[in-house]
Formats: sequence, C-alpha cells, structure tokens
Amino acid sequence: MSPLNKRVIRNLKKSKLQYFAIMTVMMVGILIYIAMNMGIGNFENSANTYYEKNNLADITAEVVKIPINSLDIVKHIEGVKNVEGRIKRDVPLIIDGTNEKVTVRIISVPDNIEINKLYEINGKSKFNSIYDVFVIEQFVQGRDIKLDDILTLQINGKRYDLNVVSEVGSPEFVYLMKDSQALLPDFKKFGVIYVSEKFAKDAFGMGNSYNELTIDIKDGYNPEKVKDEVEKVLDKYGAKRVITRKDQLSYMIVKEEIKGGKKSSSVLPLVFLIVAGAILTVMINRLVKNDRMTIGVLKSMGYTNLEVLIHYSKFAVFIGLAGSFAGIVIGVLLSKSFTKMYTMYYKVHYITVEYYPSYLIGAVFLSLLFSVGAGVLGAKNSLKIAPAESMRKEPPKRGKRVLFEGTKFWNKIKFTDKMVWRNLMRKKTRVVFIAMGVAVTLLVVVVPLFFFGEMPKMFTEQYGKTLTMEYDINFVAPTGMESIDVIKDNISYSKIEPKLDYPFEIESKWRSKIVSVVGMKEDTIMYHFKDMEGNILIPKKDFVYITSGLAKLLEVEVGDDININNYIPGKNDIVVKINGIVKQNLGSNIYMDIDFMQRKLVDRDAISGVYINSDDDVKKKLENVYNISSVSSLSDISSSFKEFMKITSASISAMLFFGFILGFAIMYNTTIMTINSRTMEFSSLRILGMSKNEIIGMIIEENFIISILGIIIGIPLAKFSSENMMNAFSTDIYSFSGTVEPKSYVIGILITLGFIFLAELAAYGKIKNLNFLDALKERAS
Amino acid sequence: MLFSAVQTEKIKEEYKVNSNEYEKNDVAIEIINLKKHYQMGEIKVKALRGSSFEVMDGEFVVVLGPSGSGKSTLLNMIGGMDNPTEGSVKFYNADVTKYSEKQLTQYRRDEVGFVFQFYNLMASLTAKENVELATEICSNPLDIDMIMNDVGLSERAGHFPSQMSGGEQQRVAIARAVAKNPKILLCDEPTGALDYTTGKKILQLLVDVNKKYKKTVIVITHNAAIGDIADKVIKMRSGEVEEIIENKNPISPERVEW
Repeated sequence: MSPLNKRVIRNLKKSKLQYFAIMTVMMVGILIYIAMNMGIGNFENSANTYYEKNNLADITAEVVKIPINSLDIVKHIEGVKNVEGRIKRDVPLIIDGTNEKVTVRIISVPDNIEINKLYEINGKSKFNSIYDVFVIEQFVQGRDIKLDDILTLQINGKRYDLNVVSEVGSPEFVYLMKDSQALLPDFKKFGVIYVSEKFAKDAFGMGNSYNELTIDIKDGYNPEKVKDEVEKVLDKYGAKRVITRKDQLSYMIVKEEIKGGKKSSSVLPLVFLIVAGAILTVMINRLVKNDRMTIGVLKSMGYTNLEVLIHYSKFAVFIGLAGSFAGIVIGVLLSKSFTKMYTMYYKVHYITVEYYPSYLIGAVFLSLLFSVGAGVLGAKNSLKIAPAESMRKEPPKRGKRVLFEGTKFWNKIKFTDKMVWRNLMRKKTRVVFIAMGVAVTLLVVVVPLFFFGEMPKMFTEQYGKTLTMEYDINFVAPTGMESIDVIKDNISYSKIEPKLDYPFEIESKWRSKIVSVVGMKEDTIMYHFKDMEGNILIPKKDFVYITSGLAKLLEVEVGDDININNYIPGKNDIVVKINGIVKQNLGSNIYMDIDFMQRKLVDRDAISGVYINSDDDVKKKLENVYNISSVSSLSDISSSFKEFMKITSASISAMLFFGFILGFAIMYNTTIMTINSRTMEFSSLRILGMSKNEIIGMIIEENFIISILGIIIGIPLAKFSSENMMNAFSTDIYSFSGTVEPKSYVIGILITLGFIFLAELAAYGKIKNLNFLDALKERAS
Repeated sequence: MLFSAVQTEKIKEEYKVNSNEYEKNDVAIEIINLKKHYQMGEIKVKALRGSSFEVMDGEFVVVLGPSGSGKSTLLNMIGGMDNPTEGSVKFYNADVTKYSEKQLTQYRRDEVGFVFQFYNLMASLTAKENVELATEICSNPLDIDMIMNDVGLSERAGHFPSQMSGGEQQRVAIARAVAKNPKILLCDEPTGALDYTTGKKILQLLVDVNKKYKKTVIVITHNAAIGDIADKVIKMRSGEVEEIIENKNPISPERVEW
C-alpha cells in the first residue's frame, strides 16, 4: 500500500469517532435506500405475482340480475377472455349474547373458479356440504375464528348456521375494506365468507342468476374500452357499477401504498446523503486547511495537484464506501423485515424476497456520487495552495473593532466574554457553519415530529371539526326516510341527521375516479365545511362540494362542471357545477344537497344511514334493528384509523430515530471540527495562563450563542421542509396539509440542545486531553 | 494510481521537450537579477530585490543572512516552488522560471530535494514510509534501505516521528530528500530547530551526502559559523546579495563552533 493511502487509513483511525458519525449518516441513507426500495420492490412483486397467479379480475360488474345463460353475451364482447358469475351480498353475522353489528360479505364460488381464485391457507379446498364456508384470512384473525366453528348469518330474515372449513386469501381483498365509504378497515366488524353457488342461490332466491360478474380480458386490450362495451351490454341487466382493476378498492389501496412508499424511498435517503455529503465536504475542507503545510511538503516533493486532490478525496470516498457497504448489508437484511411489515397489513401471498442488483449498484453509485463529490468539493482548495506560500505561515487577519466595542455594555463584561464576542464577530464563516449545523439538526428532528402531530390532527379535523357526529349508523341498503323514525323510537338523542352515501364515478375531461358521494341536508348540523383558506362554507340549496385532494386529482376548480356517472338502473349520468372546494385530508368525496342527490342520482327519499349525537347506549339499543349494517362510534373509527396509519406511523418513527442519529452526527462533527481547527488558539490561551475550564466555558458560551442563531435559522427551515415533504407522505386516501405546531418546535429545540450538550461533552474530553505544547510545535500532520 | 502514473509520464514527456534534457555544464544553478514581491496580508513584501549568482555542479553552498533577508524566498525559487516577479533561475542552463506548472512539478519531482527547518514529516507515517512517500513518484530513486542506513536510521525505520528526537526526524527528512536521487538538495535552516551537537551531526550528514552522492547542496541559514563548511558562501541582506565568498578550504562540521 502506498504511504499516502496508509496515511489516509491512519488519520481515519485517529479521528475514528468523527468519521464514524458521518459514516453512520451515510450508512443510514443507503440503508433506507436499500431496505425501502427492496422492501417495496419485493412487496410489489409479491402482490403482482399474487394478482397474476390468482387471476385478479380485470373488470368487476355489479348488476341487478343476470341469468347464467346470458354470460355468453358478455363473453363475446371483443377483448373479453373469460367471464364468471357470482352472487354477492352483505348480510349481518349473528353473535349471540353481544350487541355487536358485524357485516359479512357472502360471495358465491363456482366449482372451477378461474377468476379471483382463492388462496388456500388452512383447511379443505372444497365444500362437502352446502353449509360449508371458506372465510377470508383477515376476518379469521380479527375474530379469532377456528376451523369447524359455526357462523350464524341472517339472510332474508332466516338464520343459517354455516360451518367454517377453510381459511383463505383472495387477491380481491389483499386489503380488506367494506367499501370506499368505510375509509378505514375493521377486521372484527367486516369479513368475507365464500359459499357454494347452490347455497347462495337458495338462500338469496337468485335461481339461475348472478348479481356480479368478474371478467378477465385478453392481453393487449384496453380495460377501459372493454369496460365501456361491458357497460353497454349489461345495461339491460341493471348494471349498477362496472369497474376496472385500477378502481378496485383493495388493488387501488395497495398501489397507493406502493406509490407512497416509493416516494418516501426516493426522498428520505437523499436527505441523509445530502447531509452526510455536506458534513464530509466541510470536514475535508477543514482538513485541507489544517494540512496547509503538509500539502506544501507534498507539492515540494513533486506531487501534482491532482494527486493531492485525490489523496484528500480518498478520506471522503473511504467513508462513503464504508457507509455504503454497512448500509447495503444492514439494508438487505432489513428489506426482508420491511416486506414482512407490509404483508402484516396487506395480505399478499407468494412472497418473493429478492436482492435486486440494480439497487445494490444504485447504492454504490449514490454513495460514490456523494462521497466523491464531497471529497472533490472539500479538497478543491488544496489546488489553490501554492507550494511556496504554504511554507509560509498564514498572515494573521487584521483585527477589527467588533460591534459593541467601546460601549458601556462592552466595558462592563468580563474579559473572557469579550473574547467570545470578538471570536463570534470575526469568525463569521465558522459561526454560520455551526449555526447551519444546529439549524439542520432542528430540521431533521422537527420534520418527523410534525408528521407525528399531523396524524391525530388529520383525524380530529375530519371527525371532530368537519363531521361532528358521535355515531355513524349505516343501513344494509339504501332505505326510505322512515328508517330515521325507527332509530328515533329506539334511542334518545341530542342530534340526528340522515345521510345518503353512495359510490359514483366522477369524471372531468379524461380524468376519473370512483368516490363516495355523500348527500346531507342543506342546513346540515353535523358537517362544518371549510375551504382551503379556512373560511366557513355555508351550503346552499343544491350545493355540490368537492374535497381538495379530489379537486387536485381531477384538476377542477369552483365553477367547473363534473360528470357523475350513474350505474343505478333507470338513473342517468348527470353534470353538476362545483360550488366549493372543501379542505379534507382524509379520503376523497363529493358532498351535495341530499335532496338534490335523491332526485338526480338515487331515489326520492333514499337514505343510506344517519349520524347521531347521543348519550344513550346506542349500540345495544340498535342491535335488534334489522336493516342496520353497522354502528360505529367515534372511538371505533379512531382505533381503526390508528390501525390504518400503522405503516405510516412506523415509517415516521423510523424517520425520527434516524433524525436523532443525523442530528447527533451533525452536532458532534461540527463541534469537533471547530475544536480541531482551533487547537493552536486554545494552546496559546493555555500558555497565557487560562485554565482548561475557562477555555471550555468560553466554547460553551460561544456555542450557546451560535445555537440560538441556529435555532432562529432552523425554525423557518424546518417549517419549509415539513410543508414541502407533506407530498412525499400523502396518498390518494390521506394527505397532510397542516402547519408545524409550536409544540413540535419546542420539543425539537430541546432535543437539539440535548445533542449540543452531548457534543460539548465530547469536546470537553478532547480539550482535556489536548497536549497544548505538542499542538504548538506541530508542523505537519 | 494508474491515473497518476499516466499523468506522470505525460508531464515527463512535456518536461523533456521543453528543457531539451540537461546540457553538461559546470554551472548547476544560475540566478539572474531575481526579484520577488508578494502580498502578505495587508503588507507588500519585497523579498528579493535583484539577486544574481551561480552555483557550480557538486558545490556545497551556504546562503547566509538574517531573518527577512530573502533566503527562503530564494530557495523556493530555486526549488521551483515559486515564480519570480522578475529575473530568472537557470538549472543546468534550462530556464526554470519559464516552466509550465506541470514542468515545475516534474522538476521538483526529479531534480530537487528539500530539507526543512521543522522536518515536516507526516506524523502518521513511519520514518521509512516518509521516505517512500518521496521515492514513490520519482523516476530514478535510490535504494531506501541504503539511504536509511547512511543516515544512521536503519534501526528506527519503523518508528513514527513522534517517537523520534528532532535530530532523528531531520535525518529522516534528509533521507527523504536524498532518496529521490535529485541533482540538488535545498536545505532551509536544517539545524535551526536542533541543539548544537545534533546540529553539527546533521551538517556532517549533509556534507557526506554532498561528497558520497555528488549532490549540489544549498543550505540557507542565519548562523554565520556554518559558512565555514561551505565551498561558497552567499551573504544576503534585505533581499539582495551582499557578498559572495569562495571558500578554498572548507572545514569539517566537527570543527565548527557557534
């Protein structure tokens, strides 16, 4: 090994803690890059494999009724490869002795199922009796259902005892939610049960008909175009809702999660790599400055500028590669856990864990890019050092009178305080460098704190301020206004309001999305809408509001027209004008006057549920009301929300943890670098008779003042970064849009000060052990 | 490493073309009306105000003068470390002051060995590695072990500078300069940081190098007594050559007293 390379390694060893701190930041950046990308990549691949192997339907069509022999008509549509019919209906599960409202979706399974094939987890693969059922895995886990358990269902007023013979997964319900209106999953309250066709036909009285078709299309055909044809053909069978795979609820949520994960996996590593690169640049820069004489000696020996530049860049490259290697190893190990974390919430099978060479190459490339960049940027000053000049001592800078000098305040303060202020005023670059370190530390701590604060806020904004109900009651199917009276008769309440909640396809130009359209009274007492500026929106007759996220997606504004595509038999598509954009972070909706919605879209008088505020035992008292499918209290929704946000929450926790590492690394390095570059100054002070404690006191005082400056810079920086990172964490289902709370700043400042304190401790040790005489004698390093 | 080797070859080619190789001449260094002005902070320093002299091949020359007389600046000019404001430095008839940056690098690499007052060793390299640092990049280095032996440091080759005395460190610095096999050795106050006895030993070593390896040696010092060991003494004051003394009978460093 060449002597210069030996020097690199020995000098790295000498300042191992400092380099280790930067290496850790680099490592974390690469670790996140590898773990997240591979984790998400594996999850995406597994999901795609699952969809492919179990043949997730390309198109799903809900109809009122279609005879078995009419399936051929659909099969003959150009582009259709295969069609299967099934009977699907939501029914209540009877749980004796409790007041729980549990809904199960019954889906019939043909003998030779080809589309939406089930994944056998546990139990039998065939029905031996018409009362045998397969149960979806989430529901099995949610309700702790065992094989051979009996589930009692109420179908058309009749009780059926069904025998659980198998636990299954379905590509259709990777993420199990009742419907898009549900917004949040609840595996205890909603499940899917697969039954034999015979049982479904008998129990629902469907004869030789189905009410839903699953369609597989041929390769190379545009699903949207085939869907349009299917709609036309099914019109006479009472087509209710025809959707392609991209609008299928579970599929859409999985894709959104992958999209969000990919966004985060591209932003987060960059934050760490940029910080590591910045610290490395400054560190190499300082090293070059301190090594002025050494560089002169090297040049006097005939080393070229490029050789000197490469020598100093090697410090950065070594750190980069070491960090990259450690990051790759830990990242690869963690990627498996990352995929597992996803599969805890998204029930994907055929999990494939691969180690993608492209990400490994990407990691090495990224670390080289940032470390070589940092090395060259930091060491480029070595090119400027003329050999002869470097052999001369740097001329002392001319001391100027500082701002307060000569004032009464100045004359009153201690000598050491004067030194502190003179240092601060004269070494502006150093002050800015440390202040920026404090500011970035504050930023990396405040950003995750902001997101932590935003999550519950997102919920309380939606279910505390916008919608002020205590119970959300949903009927099995849309019913007449008289259903309210049934509820009124059963419970005492302070407020009650009907709602009509139904999914429609909303279209604007070529953009469309299926969302829940919610109808409410013009003088609603439960909803309190605000626009993007926070102004209260007062609904007027026939009002139509759109939520902010949906407006952005469809690129529409107030005054624009949107199409509402209606699949309810006998009802037409309508065009409506948007009267207001509602600020909403949870879910995408259209809100409109219930009267208008009933007239134009559903049925006069139709309601799908009610909102209630009541101190009564609502759940218990409504348990015997037959047409109620669910009664959710605010706390039920809150716990579902927490469950739903678990992955995001875990990501933010990891971000906070890594933020701590980053913060400490920044503060430790900035402090140590400053101490290292001032050994000569401190040695001179010692020779002049100052004690170690007096010097440390001065450093603490200096750093305290700089920290205040750093915090002042850091607050707007943290605010700006938080608000700009919201996009990375937002999906179609939820979005962040708040501002950083003062509490987050206070906690962030306290944590930053804690890091500064720890760094000061390290600096204390360094100064205590500093050999002042040696430092004064030192001529090369 | 491959890159720097390629680059070195390129520099050498260019260097050869421009210097036409050295012509055999008795004059090793020719200084012609050399002036150097530079800015130090807010002060303009006139370090050299027009000096001229010659150094013959194989000569042991002492440049004598008080602090601030321009000795170090002169040495830097001869060593290709700095460019003059005016005048020229000729090295075996080739005008070093007309060299490009690359040629100067090659010149320092192959032709010049520097010895500094404060040794300027790399603290994190052993004595031998410090010498290797120099030999690694030059085209015709001497055997390192032989040099280490000649400077009396065979036993200390694996020691770090912090484990050595000042005299030993200066020996390493001399070994580092000699091992490159340069034509000329430039020593900037080589005894300035050493005690009397050690200083004399270092001077003896330089004389030995001059004799054994036939190197032209230029020592700059403020210590007038050292002049007695030189073939030629160039006295400087305020950036000008005050006097040039040819010494027909230089004495052994052992006999020098100060």
